[in-house]
Parts: sequence; C-alpha cells; structure tokens
Amino acid sequence: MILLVLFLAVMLSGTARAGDAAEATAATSVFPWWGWCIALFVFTFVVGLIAPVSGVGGGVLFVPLATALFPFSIDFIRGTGLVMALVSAQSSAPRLVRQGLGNVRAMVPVVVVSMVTSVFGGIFGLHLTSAYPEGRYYIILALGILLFGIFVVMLTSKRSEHPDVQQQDNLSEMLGLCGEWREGDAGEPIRYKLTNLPLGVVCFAAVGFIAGMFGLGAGWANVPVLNLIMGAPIKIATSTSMAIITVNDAAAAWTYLSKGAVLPLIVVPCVAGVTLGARLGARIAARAKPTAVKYLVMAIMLLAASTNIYKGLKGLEVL
Amino acid sequence: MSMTKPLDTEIDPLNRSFAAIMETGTYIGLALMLLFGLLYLAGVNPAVPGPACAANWHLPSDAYWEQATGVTPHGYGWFLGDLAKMDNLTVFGVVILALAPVLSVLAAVRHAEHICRYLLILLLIEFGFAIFRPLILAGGGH
Repeated sequence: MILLVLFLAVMLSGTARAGDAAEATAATSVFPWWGWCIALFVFTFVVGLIAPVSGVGGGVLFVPLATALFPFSIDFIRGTGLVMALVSAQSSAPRLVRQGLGNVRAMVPVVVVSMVTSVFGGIFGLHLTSAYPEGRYYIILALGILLFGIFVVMLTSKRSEHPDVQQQDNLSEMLGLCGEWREGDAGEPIRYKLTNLPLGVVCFAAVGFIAGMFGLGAGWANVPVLNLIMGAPIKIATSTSMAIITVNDAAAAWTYLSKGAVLPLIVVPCVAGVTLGARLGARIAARAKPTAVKYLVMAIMLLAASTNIYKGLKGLEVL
Repeated sequence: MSMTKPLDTEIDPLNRSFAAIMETGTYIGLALMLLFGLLYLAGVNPAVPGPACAANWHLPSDAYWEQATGVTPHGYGWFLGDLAKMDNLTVFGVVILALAPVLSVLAAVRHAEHICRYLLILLLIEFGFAIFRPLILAGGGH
C-alpha cells in the first residue's frame, strides 16, 4: 500500500517534468509520456475496481480495451496483460490454497499440458506480429472474435454450486482428485471429487494456448471447465483456476520477457492501478449489485469486441 | 497416492508449502517491481528514458528495441546485462514474480507421492524448457 501511495505521488510530481518529456512524445501523440502513464493508472484502477464485482478477470478487460484505446503495440499490451494476470492470481492463490479451496493436486495434471500450450501460444502470437507486417491485425481480429466468444460464454453458461459426481473416471481416481473444505470456521466439512480428467486436459490445452497468445488470465474458461466438465464445486473451481493461472502465465511470461515485450513504463502503472483498484473493488463487491455490474461489463466487452473486429478488418483492408 | 482423506479439514502439506513459497515470492517480486518502477518513472538512471520509450512504444517489440537501443533482444541479456538501471531492475522484479510458481512447485514435490510427484517433476522440466528455450533457440544472444 505504501508503494502504491508513493506511486501516486510520483505520478503527480511528473507534471513538473513536463518540459523534459514533451519533445519526444509529440511525435506519437497529443499526450506527453507521463500523461499516458497517468491515463493507464486511472484506466487499470477502474478495471481493478469493477473486476471483482463483475467476476471477470482484469486481464480480459485490459487487453482488448487497451488495444482499442491506447497507442502501444499489441506486443506490450499482451505482455502487460500477462504480468497483471500473474500478479493478481499470485496475490490471491496462496490464501485460497491454504484454505483448502484451491486444490494443487487437481491443478497439476491439467497444467502439465496447458503450460506447454501456453508457451507455444506466446511464441506464436509474438511471431505473428514480428514476422508478418499484417500480423498485428490478425491478432487484433482474433482478439475481437475471442472476446465475443467470452461474451457468449458469460451470457449462456450456467454455474453449478455443488455438482453431484457419482463416479470418478479412472485417471481422476488414480490421482486422488478429491478434497474437502469448510464453510466458515464452525461449518461441517464439505467433500467433493473430480471426474472427466481426460476431457478436462484437452480443454485446458486449448485454453492455455489462447491465454499465452493473448496475454489473458483465462479464468473465464478455466472455471466452466472445472465446474461443468470436471464437477468441481464453484468455490473450488474459481480458487483452483487461480492456481492454474499462476503456473500457466508464469511459463508464458518467460517468452514475453525474452522478446523484450515487458515495458516498465506500461507495466508499472498498470500493476499499481489494478492492484489498488481490486482491493477497493473487493470491498465494494460485498455491497454492490453484481448482476447490474456484470451486464455493464458484458456491454463493455461487446463494445471492445466490435471495436477490435473493426480495427482488425480495417487493417487487413477487408473494410 | 492415497485416496483416503482425514475426517477434519487438515490442509494438505503439499498445498501449504506451495502457498507459503508463492506468497513470499510474490511479495518480493511485487515490492521490487513497484519500488524500482517508481524510481524509473521518476527518471532515476534509466536504460531507456521515458521519452525515448514513448516515441517507439507503438512499434512491435523487435522494432521497438531496434529503434530504442539498436539491439534486438533474444534472451534475457537485454535487462540482466545492466542491473544498475532502474527499468532493468523493474523487469528483474517481474522475473522474481515468474519464478515464484517454479519455486512453489519445487517446494510441493517433497510432499507429493507416486504419480503426483512425477507430474510435479515433469512440471519443473517444462518450466526449465520455458525459461531456457529462448537462450538455446536464439543462440544465447542478447
């Protein structure tokens, strides 16, 4: 918190340094460079604020909206999105795992596959923008289509609080994919077991590739797979998804680091903004009307999807 | 691995050690990243000054580095080569963050049994691939 307050102070003092910066930024934008940093901080603060209330990960909102609104290369936006997702998952996963809600044993067999696909997703995405002049437009177009897909998933998917798993598949049984947690300190232990591991692994392989390619956390896909396919209770699914994101995104982050796609000037305001916003958002979430916020976020996602599809098609000279 | 679970909600030691290491690594990485990031944003000893960064940040990463520094990064030498610079130290904070899950998996290995242990070791090998692939395939270059 102290660091975040310090960050705000430096951002505000940056106005005094306007003269130094103005000359270099004039070539690319109407804002001085520090102005973009402040805009990023405010933008990610708002993203962090509404993410916990709406149940959507910050990265899913950040990547498409930043692509539509900011002048940065999509390489740096994806690198930043990945670091944001990593920080936010790593900040919450330890507490959830310690409470028995995040199940590391359930995480292991799926990330063994999805980690590899997330690394290749990162390589493929960065190669596409570097090797082909029109590559960035394919990425922007695919991002718009993906976002539209996420919108449809959010609109149609039903959550099952506590799926009734009658029988485990052999693999899940062999790996002991079961567990228990308590609702509150005095509650009775609630037991659960997982099933359909082979199908779950195939789904996570696809999700890992998409997460690595677009720099997303992919909780929007992890949770339905764990909940609806593998039979994890919703609390276990959301918490285990956080643990999965830590491993997948950490692996993909090395690809972005090695290609220089992590720029401190973009990453630091974003991480500070989303961290501070999410802390406040978690408090608001208890009092807010989640349904109204969820629909607001879905409307924003639909708008961002349309904007990215339009930008991609225009860049490819289809429109 | 045993399928039987204790009647009370004992936290799996594997979960506990995974969480403890990740928590520590995240705090250190985040603190480093934000602290040095603040100094960088304040203009203290940058490798690529803010104005130069902003003049090129619309370019794809390869072209950005070519314009900003004259070198295309392949590997980690672009920031590990000069850790006296605040922006490079900020990226080093991200490295600590990305290493935290590796160390968490490593800590969990000793509490796992049978297949789960083998899968965790496989996970560590995959992490090794993710980390060292850019060095091997790019000829270890900067």
